[in-house]
Amino acid sequence: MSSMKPGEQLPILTLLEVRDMLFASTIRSTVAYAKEFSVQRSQLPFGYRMILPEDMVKDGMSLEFSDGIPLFATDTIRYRGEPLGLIVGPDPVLCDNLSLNVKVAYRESEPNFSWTTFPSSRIAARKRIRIGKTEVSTPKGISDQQWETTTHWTGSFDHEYSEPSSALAVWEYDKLVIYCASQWPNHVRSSISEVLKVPQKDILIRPTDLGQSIEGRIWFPSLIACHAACAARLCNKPVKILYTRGEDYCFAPKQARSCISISSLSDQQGRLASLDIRLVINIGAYNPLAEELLDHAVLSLLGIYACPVVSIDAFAVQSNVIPLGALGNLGSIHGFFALDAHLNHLARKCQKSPAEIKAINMIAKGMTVHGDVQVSSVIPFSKIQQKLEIMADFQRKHASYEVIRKRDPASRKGIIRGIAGSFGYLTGDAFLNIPEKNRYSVEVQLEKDLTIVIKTEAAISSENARLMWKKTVSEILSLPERSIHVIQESVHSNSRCGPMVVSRGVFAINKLIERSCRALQKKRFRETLPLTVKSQMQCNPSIQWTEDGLSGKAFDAASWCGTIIELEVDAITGQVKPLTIWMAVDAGRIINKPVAESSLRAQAVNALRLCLLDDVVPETLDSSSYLAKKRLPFNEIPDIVIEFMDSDRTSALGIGELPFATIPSAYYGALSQALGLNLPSIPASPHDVMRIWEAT
Amino acid sequence: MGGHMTITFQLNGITKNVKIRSGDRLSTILTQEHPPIKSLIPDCLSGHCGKCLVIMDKRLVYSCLVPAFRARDAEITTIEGLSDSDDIRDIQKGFQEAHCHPCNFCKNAKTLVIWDLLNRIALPNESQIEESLSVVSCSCTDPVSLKKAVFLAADLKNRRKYHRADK
Repeated sequence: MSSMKPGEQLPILTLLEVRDMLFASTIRSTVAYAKEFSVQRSQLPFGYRMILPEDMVKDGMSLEFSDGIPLFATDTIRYRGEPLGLIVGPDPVLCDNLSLNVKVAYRESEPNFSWTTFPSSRIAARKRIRIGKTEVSTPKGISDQQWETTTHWTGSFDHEYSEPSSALAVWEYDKLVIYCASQWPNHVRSSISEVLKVPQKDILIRPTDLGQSIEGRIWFPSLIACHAACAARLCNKPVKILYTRGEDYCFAPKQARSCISISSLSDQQGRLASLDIRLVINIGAYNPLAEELLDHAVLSLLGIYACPVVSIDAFAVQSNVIPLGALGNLGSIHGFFALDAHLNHLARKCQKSPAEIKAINMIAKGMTVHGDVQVSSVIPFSKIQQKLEIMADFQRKHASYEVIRKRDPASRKGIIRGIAGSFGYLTGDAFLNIPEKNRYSVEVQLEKDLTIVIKTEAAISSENARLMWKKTVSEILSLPERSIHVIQESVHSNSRCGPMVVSRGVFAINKLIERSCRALQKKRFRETLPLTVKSQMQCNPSIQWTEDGLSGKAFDAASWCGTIIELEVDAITGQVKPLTIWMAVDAGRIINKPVAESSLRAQAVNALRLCLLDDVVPETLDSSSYLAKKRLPFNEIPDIVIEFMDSDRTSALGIGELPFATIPSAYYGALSQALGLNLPSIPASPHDVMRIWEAT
Repeated sequence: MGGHMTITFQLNGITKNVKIRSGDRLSTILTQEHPPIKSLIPDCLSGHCGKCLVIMDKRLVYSCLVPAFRARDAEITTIEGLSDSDDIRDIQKGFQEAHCHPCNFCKNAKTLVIWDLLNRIALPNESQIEESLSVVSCSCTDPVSLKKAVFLAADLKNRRKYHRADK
């Protein structure tokens, strides 16, 4: 059952209205932590209704949204702004006002969170990795060396969603139709099915335009959709929930904060002998993907550097703030940044360049690392490094900035410059724990008029993805791109598409389209039109967790990226101005070069925001925060130069999140070089820069 | 709620008589028009996102910040009123040739901003483009291809205007 015709655009939920539609506003907690509370029912104007958890229980609905996460707070309030109920009525503004004036009595408790100690009840996920002989604290032969320890923090960031969180629930005969912009429409359907206790076949999810999501719309839209569905069932009318911008900024998930301490032991050459890592991710009140976040953060910490002894203790810890989660590349940003920053620190200690240290420790084809992981492909570090150094004139600039900084103390009063590089990757292993989440399907139809219609239930998050798929079809079937249409289908029974997370989802669909087109090619002149080919696949993660780390084959389907950033710092104001970003990318076959470049540039700007703008402090957000939010002005965006490496790999691989893997650490490295000291966190606002600089 | 009043204004060249309330914003009355103006997405209501931009008396304004009564006797143009013009086609072609694909949330606003810029300045420089486009806050597009699209659109428009042959 397709809700769209070829050429038609997905609707924008903000503008979507249906007859007799009611609006729902969320009644929110005004305290961060309360073990007891009660919501007072008050007299509402005619046509308005308050929906509280007890109304849902009376109607036979479940109050559990997902994995023990409540749909509405019932016993305990876990964060300021947690949904307590809904006010439903015909006027959205009046609903908002009424919901703000609902009286709630609380027995408030003191919220607490510590990066160092936390009770086991607060640990949402935990990972303990021991590779090699970790009980021997100092390996033989390098006993005279010292442990080097660095600690790095990553702040919380906003996803800059294209539209505020929203959902519309409508009854269509015997079906409940949900309009929702989600990266994972199937999760919306299964969540509603569990909450309303109705079969999934009675629920239809019609996708609306997702816009930009950067992994922020994986599970949260399902919660909003459940709220709308409950209200629609209780009121027996269509109900729309549309957060205001301010509300969305305060209460929609942001990127999780992290604190990573890395202690390492290395020989005089800088070769790693032992790594002892403690990772804590603050996931806010809850996050159904806490385990995935933690896994990806740990994977990025194990990374591409060989170390015989590794000990990692990783925790995803709950706190009394809004749900915090992924932003680009799931949880990898945290690990990439901390490990790269630590290697920069080691390089300084060993009087070597960061690139030398990385090259010494880089894993190579044929090695067995991280327990039992076979490295079966070449890591193109040197190739990318050489290319980048030429592009950026790196060696000369790096040496001159070092000399200027060391020889001329007066430079600390003017404009000072720094340049640094980083190396990162993107693998195809999106969901490690639940492989069913990595399932995709596609239907390609060749019509009588030689148009091609591609149908998928997976969320299409960008026009660039569509263009790439069209190009793939066009190349295989020799049809003009204008006659190719991509449709995101409604999610109905028997569909099982996984979430579109990390750009690898886009490439999984591309692979399926390729496969379907090849099948069409064989049938094209043998059978009558129209022809339809359906393909589906299960992308199994290439690595698995074991008791001693990991096993499997790694990096076969990885795309690689090196980034160099040159920046200048105003020593009087602390203002940082990135001058140029150079990126060299090896992502297999590039299907559409201009589109690939454009995607990388757009995400590079987003990754740069994480470094330059103030982080979001969830505890302090209020209705005026959205207006005070800083934006990266157009004229402060540096030149971004991108080169694609020649690759002998024939498959197309994900690239969209590569800037998130490399830009924060390259920025951090360049800033460290300019200032001559290590900053402990990203972002580094002018205030942070001045504070740390003055302190030293 | 305040009292009601009826105002008259020109919307995309058509005279409209609209009953408004004292607290109404221009964006509200435009999106509730019949047929509604679909190109406006007034979601922030604070002049931040720029997705509700309209041309009011030849000036680009955030319709969410304009009180509805200020529209009395004004001439308001939205992208719907320009969609058949050669200027808009030039901009769309510019987007296409620059491989710049703004999302559906900001495409109309960006198009209108470029239209306004090219009406004021035939050959804008980079900083003028940056300044103009900064009124739309959406990070879906890469800035290089966006600027390239404006240059291409300006070139197409000037060629058309001065009857110069295509390259």
